[in-house]
This record gives sequence, C-alpha cells and structure tokens, in this order.
Amino acid sequence: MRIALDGRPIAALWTGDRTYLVNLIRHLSATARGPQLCVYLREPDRTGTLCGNARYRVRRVPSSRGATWTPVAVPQALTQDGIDVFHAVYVVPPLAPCATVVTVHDVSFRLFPRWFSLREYVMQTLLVGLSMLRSRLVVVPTFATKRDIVRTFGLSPRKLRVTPYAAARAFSPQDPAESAAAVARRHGLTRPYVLGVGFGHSRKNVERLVLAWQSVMRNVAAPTSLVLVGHVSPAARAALTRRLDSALHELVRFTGYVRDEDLSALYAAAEVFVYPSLYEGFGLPVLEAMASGTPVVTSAVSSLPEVAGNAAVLVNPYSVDAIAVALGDVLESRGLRGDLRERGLRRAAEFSWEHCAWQTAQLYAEAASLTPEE
Amino acid sequence: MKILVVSNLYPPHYRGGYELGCHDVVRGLQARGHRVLVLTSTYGVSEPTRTEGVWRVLDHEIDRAERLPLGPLTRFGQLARREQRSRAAFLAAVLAFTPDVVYFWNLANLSITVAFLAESSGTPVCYFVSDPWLANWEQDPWYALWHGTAPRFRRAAGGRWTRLPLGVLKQLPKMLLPNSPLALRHTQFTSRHLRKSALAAGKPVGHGKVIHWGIDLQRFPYRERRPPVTRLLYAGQVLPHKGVHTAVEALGILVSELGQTQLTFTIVGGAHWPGYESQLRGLVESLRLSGNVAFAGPRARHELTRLYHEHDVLLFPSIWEEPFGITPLEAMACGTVVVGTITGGSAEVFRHETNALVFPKEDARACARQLHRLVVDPILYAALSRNARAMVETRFTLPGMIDRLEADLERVARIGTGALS
Repeated sequence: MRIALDGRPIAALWTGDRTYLVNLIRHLSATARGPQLCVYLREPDRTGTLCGNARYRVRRVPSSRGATWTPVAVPQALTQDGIDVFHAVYVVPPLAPCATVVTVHDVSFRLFPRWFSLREYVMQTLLVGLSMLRSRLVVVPTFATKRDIVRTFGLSPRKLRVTPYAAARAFSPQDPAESAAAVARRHGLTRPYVLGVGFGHSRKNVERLVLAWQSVMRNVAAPTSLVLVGHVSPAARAALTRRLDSALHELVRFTGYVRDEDLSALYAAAEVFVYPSLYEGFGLPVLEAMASGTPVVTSAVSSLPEVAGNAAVLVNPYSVDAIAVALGDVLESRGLRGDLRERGLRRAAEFSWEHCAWQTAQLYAEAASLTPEE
Repeated sequence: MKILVVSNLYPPHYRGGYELGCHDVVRGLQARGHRVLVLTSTYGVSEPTRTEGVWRVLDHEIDRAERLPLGPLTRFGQLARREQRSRAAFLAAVLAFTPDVVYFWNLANLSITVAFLAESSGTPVCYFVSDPWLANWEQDPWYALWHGTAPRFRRAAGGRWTRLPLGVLKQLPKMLLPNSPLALRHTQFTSRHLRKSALAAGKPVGHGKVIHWGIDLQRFPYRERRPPVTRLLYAGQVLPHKGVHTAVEALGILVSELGQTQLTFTIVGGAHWPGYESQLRGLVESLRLSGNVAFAGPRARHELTRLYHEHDVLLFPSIWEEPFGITPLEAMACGTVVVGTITGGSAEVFRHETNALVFPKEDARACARQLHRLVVDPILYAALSRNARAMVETRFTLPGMIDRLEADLERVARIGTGALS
C-alpha cells in the first residue's frame, strides 16, 4: 500500500504538528511491515529532518501559490504516484483521487473562538470541517478531542479514531546534578526552579501560573525561581512583570524556544512542572515532563486528565488559588514529589510512538478498505 | 479417524476464544472416539514440549504491535530459523501420527509453509476459519519476502551488474515455496461474514461450509435476573479494536447526564496492549468514573460463568469486523443481556430488540441510550434474556457444532483417500 503524507508542518520548528509528523514518519518507516511512504513538501526541507530511506521517500510538489498546493498540486501528485491513502494534518484536498485520512489535534477554534480572529475562525471551521467530512477517517489524540469534535461539528463518532501520542525518546530520566549543570551552562539558570512550557497563546494560561507562583513565593523564606519556556512577546513579558512584586522580578526567567535535548534537561532539573492550560487536544508537555522524571501539576480540563491519569496533581486552571495550593503542596512535600515522579515515569512509559505508528498504519489499511459513503 | 489439528495457540496458554474453542472441539472429537494430535506453538512454554496429544513445537511470532523493528539480516535469520523448525516439526508429526486428515485452525503468526506441506503431502486437509488469517495468508513474512519484496527489488535494481545475482535469487523462491497459492479445497467458516471476506480477498472458498460456534450449555447455565439493572460487564481482550472506550464513554453519559450513578462496570480481560489500558484508565479518571469502573484483569475460564451470573449486561462494543464473537454467546446462554455492535459476524447472532440491543460502532451516545432502556424497562430486559437463551439452545450448542464438524471431516477424509468420488 502506498501512503503519502503532507510533510509541510515539518518546516515549522517548535510546533506540535512537527513533533507528531517527525515521530510518525520515523516510526512508520521503522515498522517491519509498514506501508511505503512518500512525504510531500512544497519547499525543500531546510531543517534537514527528512533524508529518505528504503521505506520512505521525500517528494517536492511544486506550486506557484500556497493556496493552490493542497487543492490542485497535491491531487495531481497523488494521481501520478498511484497513492492509495493521503494523510494530512487538519486539511486534505477536497477532491483527492484516493482515500484521505486527516489528523485533528484539537478544535480550540470551535470551542474558544475568542482566542482567534474572525478570519481564522471562519477559515479553520470551513477547511477543517470539510476535510473531516471528506476524509474516510479522522485521527484524534484523545477521547476528549473526539467528544469535542462530535459535539461541535456533529461528525459521526464512527469516523473518529483515537491514536494517542507519546513523549519522544529525548525525554528520559536524567541525573539531576548533570541536568542542573547543563541547564546552568546553556541558560544560566540555577536550581531550584518551577518550570512552565509552551507559552505564546492565551490558552496556556501563563498569567494565572505567574500569579499562583507569586502567591506561593510570598509565603516562603527561600523562594524558588520560575522558568518559562516558549515564546512570550516583549509586551506580554512587560505586562506579566508589572503584575509581580518587585522583589520577585529577578526570579522569573524567559528562555524562549529551546531544542528537545535542552528541554529534557530543563524538565529534569525542575522541582515541578506546572501546565495549567485551559484547553489541549493532547498536552504533550505533560508526558514529556513525566518521561523526564519531573512531578507535574496540570489542569483538570479537556484532555489533560485523560493523558495525566493519576500521575499528576490536577487543578482548576481558572483559579489562581487552586494552582497556588497545588504548587505549594508539591514544593513543600519531598514525599509527594517522589510519588509523582514514580507515577509519572510509569505513566509516560505507557505511551509510545511505536504504538501510535502501528495504530496509524492499521488506520491506513482501514481507510483504503472503506467505501466513501462508509 | 486420526486428526492432526494445527493451531497457533492452545490452552492452557491462550489469548482468545479461537483457541479455547479449539480445545472444546478437540475434547469433543476425542469423546466420540477419534484420535487427535494437536500441533501448536511454543507460546507460553519456555522450550518445545511433546505430551500425550499435544506437541508444542512450532515457532510463533509475537504480535506485530509488540515486535520491535529489527535489522533486515536479523529478521531474515529469525524467519529462516522459524521456517526450518516449522517444516521439521510438521513433517515429524505427520510421520509419527499418520493422520487421516490435517485440520488447520488458526495459522496466524505460524509459518504458512506447514499448510503448503500439508496440501502437497496427499493427506486430506481442512481449514476451520474463525478470524481473518485465511483472507490475508499471503502476509506470512517468509512468503511475502519471496513473493512480494524480491520481485519489487528485482524491478528496482534491474541494472547490468545486478542481473546475474538477482537471476539466481529469482530461482530461490521456487526452491523454497510453491508458486501456486493455497488450494483451500475444504474450508469451514464460523460465520458467513468470514467466508464473504475470504471470497472478497480472492480466495477460492465459495464451497466453504458455515459452521457457527457452539456453547456448552452445561458450563453456562441460565440464571434469571431480577431488576434493577446495575452491573455491566466487558469480557474479552482489552484492545482498541474491541471498542471498550465506547462502553466507558457510554457509562460516563449515563452517570453524568442521566443520573444513573448506581451503575458499575467491570472490565475483565488481559491487556495485551498496555498503552490502551492506560488510555482507558485516563478516560475513566477524566470522566470521574473511578468509583464506577473496575479493571479486573484477566480471569480464568472457569470463572466466566460466575462473572456472567453476577452481572446484568454484557457490553460488546467491538469496532472491527468481528469474526463471530463467542463471549456474547456464552453470556446469552447465562441469561446476561448483550448490548453490542453488529460488526462482521455478530450480525448473524444479534437480533435487535429480540435477543439483544445493538448500536452503531464508536457511538457512545447510542450505546448509553440502549443501556438506559434496559435500566428503566425490566420487561424488555426479561424478554431479551429469555429469548437469548432460547436462541443459543436452538442454534448454537457445542454438540451441534461438533456434529457438523465431524460429518464434514469424515467427508473430507473420504474424498481425500478416493473412497468417495
């Protein structure tokens, strides 16, 4: 069976789409009886991620305009290559000459339109909605996302398949002393610190996290720093800093984006990882922190309880007090941190990209065997 | 009659109903005076063993989901060893036992070469098919290696310098495997659906008989239930395609939206896919059902009757094309009402609102609706329970199944030896 994947998200560094595709391609092509893969790109891969091998090849599908790549250029390439199933993230061609499978990580644009511009909301609703209708199967990472899609798009649950993601191998337990040294060397950070990851979007709830941390630090003799990884705009930084006590300004550090290898050390050296996101389709950072052996505090909403299981402290993300109480409890109790660490390692080990790739390969076979009206 | 039964798994080391049924049938045939030797894999034992009636000597590949990617040379070596051992073991069994008929059950993860050997040996061969292995037998890795990958490789590398060595390579499959496909002259299917699937896959099985599974009614006696309906059960392998998540989601709807907080759900079965059970546990946590759902793990077969009797409803939310589904039949024999999907062979058993309630696969809301009907309507529950038992008694008994199998095997043996033209 011949499968083509839309590989464009690979060019977008630091995104969940990229993490998903890179791991999927890597593990699909390593499966003993996996399908023959072809990864379609519009531009040459400047990240050097895709090199091709005996199990997958990389093909550049040129298109003069970005808007015509998916609806025009891709169907032509699919016909030329005799592809059986085309798989893309979020958007597939409306008139593909073969079966299509679409992965939808989340539908935040439907549930929280206030986080998006009107244009984004309309375009995403139309394109993603049509893609899901057109596709034989829709891949989602959690049952929570599946429920959200059924509720907001009215899609038949029969079309939806859950294939959970996993933490990459780069995230593994490390020696805290070595991690601390690496973190100090690369980012100039010293332990102990509380870690937050993935900021740059309102839903990540960075403001409440900062306020909760401040609330805890006001009541302790030896404060713990707060390290925020990910893009936070200068304006947002200034706004956050303004809400902090001046004595705590120096204790908040922004690292910007960091590579997975560095991120693993950042997790491993942290006292606790706090991820009070308001909505997630999966919440990969939770598993990455668990795989690195870091205690996790996260939200009790959307998919996060499903991913964290009983291996994290779950909080109401809309309540600064609730986040502060949980953070304080974890920082205070060495026993609780040890327990969370053990549970987290076990939990993270239950997810793997091998399983995700294997499940996805089964879905390709299923999609190819279904008739369009099924 | 001397019958050589070949099955990938055989109790007490088993995973599902296919091999348990094999055990029941072997005992039934032995009770009728036939001599039976079971040739099975070393699954569950540390080394090959030969005991009275059961040889555990064949190599069994672990499931693809559990197999780590191997390098091509390691993989080739592994397959070649499996071939050599399987051939030797099968020929030894045929020589020692001299069967009147070779009766293949499940060959999934065994070498397909044993079927080729049997078909070319002159001994009558019959296949009992209760899962999709027969429709996809060409996926056997050794067969696929020579008949799938090698020609592609040859086409791809058809250059001047590679022609001679590849020409030699081309002859190898002919030496190792016959070029013709399996003849499949005599086949028995547990459902019309399986026969249809095999036909759709191009297998010459139009003549195949459909012999449905049968249940030992003495082992699964009927027990009348009294309202209210509170205890739900899932029994089977905890795997994604079994759709257990749909049942958990349906329970979530019943508890949170319809206030049926008294409902409990027991999930019984081995988690051969640990990631999926953890997914389910996460789902249970996220739906706040920790107090309603219990993961009971795998249970011995003799405990199943008690489990069926202790529960009011068996959920069968499968999302794949079920070959047939033995568990629902056992539950129905015990009077436990089944709420399930009619994917594949299940459609030949479940009659909506007559002996079971059905819902579309993956549709938790529809599942919850059907469960709610049972909770609020004890008359419907009692009628379904009684009808289900009556249906099993009339159409799906073990002695009835063995009657049909035995008659067919005798016919195959007679045709094979030329006694009947």
